[in-house]
Amino acid sequence: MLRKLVIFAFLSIFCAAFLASCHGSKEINETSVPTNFDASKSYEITFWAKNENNATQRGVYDAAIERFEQIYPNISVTIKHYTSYDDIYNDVITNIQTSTTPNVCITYPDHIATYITGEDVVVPLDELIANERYGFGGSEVKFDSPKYSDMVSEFMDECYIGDELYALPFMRSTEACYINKTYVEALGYTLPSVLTWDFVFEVSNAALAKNPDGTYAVNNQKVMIPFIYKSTDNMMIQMLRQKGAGYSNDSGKIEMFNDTTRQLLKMVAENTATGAFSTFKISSYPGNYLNKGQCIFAVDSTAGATWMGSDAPLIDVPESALREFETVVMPIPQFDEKNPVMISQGPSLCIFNKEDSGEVMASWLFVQYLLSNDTQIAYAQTEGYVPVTTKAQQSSEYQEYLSRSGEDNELYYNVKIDAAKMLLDNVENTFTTAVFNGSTSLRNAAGEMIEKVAKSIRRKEKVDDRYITRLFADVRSLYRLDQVEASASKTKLGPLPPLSIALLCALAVIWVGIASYVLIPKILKTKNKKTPTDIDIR
Amino acid sequence: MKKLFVCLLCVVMMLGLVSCFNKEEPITYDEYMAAEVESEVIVDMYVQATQSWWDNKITVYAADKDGAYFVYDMACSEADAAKLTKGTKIRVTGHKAEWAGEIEIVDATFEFLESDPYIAEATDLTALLGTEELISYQNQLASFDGLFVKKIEYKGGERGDDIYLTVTHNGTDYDFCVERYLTDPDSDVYKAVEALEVGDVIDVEGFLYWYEGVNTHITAVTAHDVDTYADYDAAAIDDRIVADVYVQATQSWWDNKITVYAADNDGAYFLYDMACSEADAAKLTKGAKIRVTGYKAEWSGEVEIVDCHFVALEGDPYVAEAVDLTDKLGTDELISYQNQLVLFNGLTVKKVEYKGGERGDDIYLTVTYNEADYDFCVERYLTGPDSDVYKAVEALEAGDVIDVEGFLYWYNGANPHITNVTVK
Repeated sequence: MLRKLVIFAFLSIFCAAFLASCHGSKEINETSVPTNFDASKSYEITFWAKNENNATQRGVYDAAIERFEQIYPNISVTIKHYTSYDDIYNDVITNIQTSTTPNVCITYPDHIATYITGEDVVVPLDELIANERYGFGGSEVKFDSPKYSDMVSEFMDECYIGDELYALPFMRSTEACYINKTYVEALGYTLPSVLTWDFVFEVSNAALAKNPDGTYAVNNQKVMIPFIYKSTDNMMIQMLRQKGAGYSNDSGKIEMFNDTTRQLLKMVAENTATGAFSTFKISSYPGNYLNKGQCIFAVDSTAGATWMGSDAPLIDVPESALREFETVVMPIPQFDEKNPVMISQGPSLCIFNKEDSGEVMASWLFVQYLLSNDTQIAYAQTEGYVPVTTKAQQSSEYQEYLSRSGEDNELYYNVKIDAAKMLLDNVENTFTTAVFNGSTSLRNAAGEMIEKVAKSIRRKEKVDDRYITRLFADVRSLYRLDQVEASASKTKLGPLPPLSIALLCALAVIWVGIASYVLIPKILKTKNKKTPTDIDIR
Repeated sequence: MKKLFVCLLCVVMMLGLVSCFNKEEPITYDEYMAAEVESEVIVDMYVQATQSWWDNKITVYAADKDGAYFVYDMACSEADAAKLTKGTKIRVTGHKAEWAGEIEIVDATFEFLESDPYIAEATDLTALLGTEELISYQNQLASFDGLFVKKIEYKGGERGDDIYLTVTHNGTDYDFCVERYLTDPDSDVYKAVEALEVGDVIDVEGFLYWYEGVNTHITAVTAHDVDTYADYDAAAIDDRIVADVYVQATQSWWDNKITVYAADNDGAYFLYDMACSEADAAKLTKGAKIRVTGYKAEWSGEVEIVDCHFVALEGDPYVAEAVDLTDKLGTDELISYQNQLVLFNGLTVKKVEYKGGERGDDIYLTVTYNEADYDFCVERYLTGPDSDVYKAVEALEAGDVIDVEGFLYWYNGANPHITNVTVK
């Protein structure tokens, strides 16, 4: 009997412990992070990269791989090029199911938040970084890798999901307003030192004046969309941040459906109604309109700077349609001139877990190489990107590159370098949004509200409070934001506090006590009966 | 009771009428084209092709007998997408939009309609390339013949994504696209386009999509083999010809056209009114290698290539030697040397006259050989009044004995275009 009691008590305690461990578990299992690297073995790793349909960027990747393979002849890197982050995301999701993910891929942290809902998929990087031999600046690393302190801290923030670092920034960009200064001045305005939404809309509306023949006076063309925004999700996110209004909190609670959002949507509606404002989804690429002299304020990523301006090295419109004008690069419009705020964005790198820990270590070494000055500076020069390490930013090579702005319309294209400088000057003014499972949906929803309002206005629908209330509900439903919130509230609970564990243990003890109280008399009664077995034994 | 019944009937009938009037009717293609951008449109159309279904959306290339439509990201279940087969009639409700020049229907929903299927034939729009009229065929299934491949590149730099195909026609470049959501990397057309080589002559069929200008989404491509002279000789009139030839001489350039005397090791060609910019004309020097494509034609006995255009090819120059055909004058064999640089010796001048009666135009030269008369011509666009040969021929007198060199042009019989004359 005593043995049964002991077993029962033991089981109870085990259950309590199990409950406690369940409650505090993370969504993925702990990954076994490699600490060593066998240089005598050969490794083949795959790298899924994204380029902006830009041969120079492909060339930089190829050259980086070639150099890396020279340094590590036992590691072979196969690159697969993509032109869209979404395509990489979709392919990764598909390949997670078959355990055929790449070793390394370019990604957005938002996407990683989805990847890590699978078990043991993405390698957390803190331990790798800290590894004295193979980590950042490690003694066994065969090239000049960056130290943790070299990483720009503002750019690292986005790569944490919860407390865990799942990615490293590869390049950083922000959004810029590419301005046809020639037209702004032709309209009688002077560009302010800080661009404001009021100024942009005022000039944009002034640009709508027409000649008697119906063409626009400012460009003598039939088409003029003065202000075009490429990424309306960024537009909404940044406006909310500038206003100090809610978007989401770190744990995924959605705060976007608020009065400030209503005001902003009304501002969009008002300026769409006059014809002053449109979006990429509605009208096409802002840069194309800018280059045709059909747009004055084109907001797009600094990573698209080589497509912007009369002399841009990359042009997507017929030459006959191009117009000559002076292009100026400024930060996106602001509500508070004294406290400019802009988003930090750009590609990050993540490593996928593999059975062979040596493969993971090989991937890690390659990731570090992508952060070395060689790769950082070369890639940053392909667009209006900035390197993610201060080491690269402050290098004489990069500084010289910046100083040669305007020497030609290729490597030293002034609009591209101006865009990079603009971000470098504003690093402390950048922000990122919280990453959680569903943060991509929330971002899409933010943009969709602007798109919907703009479309509705163009379709002569009334945009008022009732409309916006309905829009909030529609967007919530369309992007399943309620589920996102519910999911967010389920996760991120973290480990159970010691007090709770003690409480659960106490509960277990009480249950054992109750059970003992009920069961012991019965057991004693039973003991007095003779069972056939007892008889037989004796 | 009766009154009540009558009243009820009236109410029912009125409601019926109202509902009839309220029912929105589809508009015609012309009405669709006339509709304002952003207006709501309801159009009956026939599916011609679809892009791949994704996330309950599908993009449709559609048409009716009057024109074509591009329905972007139409709401569609996966089950319904499978039913959107070629020729299926659907009623689409959405909003007219314009994106980078492409007129499309967005935010659309649809319903299936009962009907016989309709599949549009491709319209040959080669002649409209570069014209403003082309856009009026937007989204239709179109064909373009005899285009030179100039550049093939994968979007993103490697297989799997769209393929951008740049072709040249009449010296102007045009962009085509293998849209991977329409024809994916496993499709025949994707494989055929990626197998093309610069300089290939191709016929292309596709939907006349627009992106900052025409940007046809290719659905079929056919590459032509390069013809040998024997192939060309054997080809029927009006057949497509693709030939690698060497320029021997050119007539004067005019109105973006030039006529070329060309040859290869096996024979000669007359490229009539070949499309050519003035800048390119300057590069058509003697011996230059070009690839020409056009149609074989015959005009008053002259076999030539017409409606042609070309691209320059790398290669050592080739200049044909003149072939002495004096003893073949008057024989049926002569025609087999048509358009070649030929030589006739010991001809007696019978008559020299200007076309039109006065200096400046062509000179017609009649000569006698073995008691038979033969016509030669100083073609002023080949050798103008300022040329040595023009001056030499107009200085001839009846009875002069001459050696003549020229291209064996044909006009109701041999009518060489003189390039050199020597008085004996």
